[in-house]
Amino acid sequence: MRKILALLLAVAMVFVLAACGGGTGEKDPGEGSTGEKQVVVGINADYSTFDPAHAYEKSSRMILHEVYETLFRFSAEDDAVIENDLAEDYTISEDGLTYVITMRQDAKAVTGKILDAHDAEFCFKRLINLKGNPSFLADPIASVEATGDFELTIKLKQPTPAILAILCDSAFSVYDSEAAQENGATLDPATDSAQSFFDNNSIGSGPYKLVSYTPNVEVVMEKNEDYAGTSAKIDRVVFKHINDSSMQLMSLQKGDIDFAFDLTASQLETLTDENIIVRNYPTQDIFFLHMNVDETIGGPLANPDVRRAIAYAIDYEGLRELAGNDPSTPMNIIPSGFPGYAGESKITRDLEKAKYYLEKAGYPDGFTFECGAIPDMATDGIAFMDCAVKIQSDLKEVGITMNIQADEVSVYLEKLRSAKYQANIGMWGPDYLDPASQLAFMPGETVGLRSNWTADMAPELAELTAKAKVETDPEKRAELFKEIQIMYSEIPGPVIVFVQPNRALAMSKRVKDVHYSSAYMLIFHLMDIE
Amino acid sequence: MVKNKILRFIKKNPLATIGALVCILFFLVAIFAPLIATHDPLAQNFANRNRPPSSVHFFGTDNFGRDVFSRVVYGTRISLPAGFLVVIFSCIFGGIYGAVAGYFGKMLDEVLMRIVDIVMSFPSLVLAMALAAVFGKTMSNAILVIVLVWWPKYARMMRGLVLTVRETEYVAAAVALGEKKSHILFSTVIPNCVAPLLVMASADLGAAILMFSGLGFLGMGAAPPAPEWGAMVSDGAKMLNYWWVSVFPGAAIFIVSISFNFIGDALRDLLDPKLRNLE
Repeated sequence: MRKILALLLAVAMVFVLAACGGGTGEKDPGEGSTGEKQVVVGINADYSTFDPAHAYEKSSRMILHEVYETLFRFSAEDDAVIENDLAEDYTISEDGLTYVITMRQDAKAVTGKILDAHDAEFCFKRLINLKGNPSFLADPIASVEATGDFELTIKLKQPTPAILAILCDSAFSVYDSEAAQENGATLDPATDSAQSFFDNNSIGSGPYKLVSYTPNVEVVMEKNEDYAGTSAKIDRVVFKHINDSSMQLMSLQKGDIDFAFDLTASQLETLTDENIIVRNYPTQDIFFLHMNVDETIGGPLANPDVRRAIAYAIDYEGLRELAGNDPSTPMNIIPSGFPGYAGESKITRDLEKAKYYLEKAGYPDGFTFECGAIPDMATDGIAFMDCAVKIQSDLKEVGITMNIQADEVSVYLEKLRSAKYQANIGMWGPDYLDPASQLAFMPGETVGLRSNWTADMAPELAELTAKAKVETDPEKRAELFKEIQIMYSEIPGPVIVFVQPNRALAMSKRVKDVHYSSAYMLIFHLMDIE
Repeated sequence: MVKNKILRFIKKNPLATIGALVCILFFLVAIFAPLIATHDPLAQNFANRNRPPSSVHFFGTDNFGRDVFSRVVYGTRISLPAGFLVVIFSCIFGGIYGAVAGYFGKMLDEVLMRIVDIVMSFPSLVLAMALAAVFGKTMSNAILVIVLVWWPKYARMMRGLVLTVRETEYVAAAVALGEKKSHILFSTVIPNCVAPLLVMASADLGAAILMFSGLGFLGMGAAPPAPEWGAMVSDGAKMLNYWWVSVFPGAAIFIVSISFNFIGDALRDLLDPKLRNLE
């Protein structure tokens, strides 16, 4: 009896050891068991799903863009250039409402099926019907129909010049509709159950395929051998969820990861390792103080003069220094790099003016308000909490007391989306690389409503917004966007933009051919390692 | 006589003496913080960010150009009261709870003590973090959640003490006199159980400060920009190249909690008759 027990114990131990060995063996980047090339990314990831009809996070696009193809895409070389992906050619009707798109016939999904217009029709309809987070992108679309096996006709509700840029978004990924339906995908939100399937599998025709996703741990994708374009050189990409920036730094220095996405400015400043390089990439993100204009929630912040006072009290130069990587401050909601950019902010810190406007608003001795911020989180190297602390100290000098409310991401987003914050430190990356995306900040639009800013509170601006949305002439359009920014600053709107950061990406020197796009972040299928 | 006694105590307990002196020093720092601090702990100075220790900034400056020395000094005004409040509230609530359970006994005892078992079966820091996330992250909530995970051990101890005292003659006498049960509990039983509880409380002070700092480190303590030691260590940990930002507040936490531990040990030796007899 004792012998049998001993034997069992020994066998158990062997298994445990084997399991441990397997676990640690995979950690070395670039050293797969068969000499395959592997890249490991350390990121404080905000993705929670890889269902194209549900995913709407900055970092999920980086993965979706690699595993699915879209009709059009932004060039990896230049964000401002839109190139064909699944589309081969397209025509626009004279009224600007009907787009007929011919598709390539060689896009083979990992399931073996050639993707055609019927797949695209199903995918787009599912996106529209499920009303997930990215579904609003499809709002301009009136109908989608496969008018041939490889011909897709998209009808719009009104002329939408930004539609090609919108179709570049990963939400418009095309996948094998039959395989999707076998795994629960339907066009009815009540019966659709494919999300968990999409989280762990991909059925698209991109250069990679999704292998596994463990929330808060890692995402793994591997090369798709059937990809119709130039095959990827890296065989496997692992995204490790590392929420702490100092952990990312240590992992990068140890060589456990090849990319560290979320290092703070001060960490980058002092990075001297010879195996690591830091590159700056322009972002179209903006950081801002977001104030609620509903008097019952925002209190004094609902008063335009108070917002003016705050705009003059903020030390923009200090915030830019805190952000690092030599960023700029746009006038307001439209960042540089977009057509219609109105130039840098003309407001600089002026405490006299701030006090003047405070007095005018009836708060000569200041007031107190609550400002939400996410603790321990940095985007583009900027820690939200640091911005909050800096602004708090700036406002203190004119007698305004800002109490910081530290809320975890999920709590923060919930409060923000239901417009419960009196104020918050916000960050916005455009939905698609077109200034029309920034119109969300306008009264009555998504972000505007998060501060309870309705269209009737600024009717003139709302009218301009409506015009800008449909204007097809590029020059007039740019003019309209400039007018919008000037009017926004005059009101002033609920948002004070203080920084448009540059993204500094710290990476291992062994990684070559790194392309970074504002829309898709890192482009892995063009990358190589030594 | 008294002088001799003190001298003997010092000779016998050199660590406790050092601990006591250090604690007194920290209390004085807390009281006279505005006189000791060289700068405003909240004043930012962007021209002077992340400077190493110097004759102007004894402990250097942090990411916002704030003087780390002044922040550590003002930190005493947060951590010391927080530690005391945690221990006092835990003691009062846990003590009364345990006394009631022990004195009335039977079903009430069973129910109350099973609740204690449930609370104690959670890892305390994890439970505190969960509660802090629910209640919101402010300093008073941090104190509250630590009390919520700490009171059970006082309840247990008090119950044990009450069970012994309940059987003594003077309690029997009070019962014979026809006193009300609740009156006996508060006027006779509890006063006779308080001393060991206080010993335990004083020994716990260091741990309470440590736990409070731990919550602060995890971003669940006092709201920024309050100069809370744990939060300062956390800030500094993000930029290890500027070691002074985290090392000095970290050292303050270490010194204070170890000093309180020394005192607690000595007090236990001194006041707990059972332990004293063992030597």
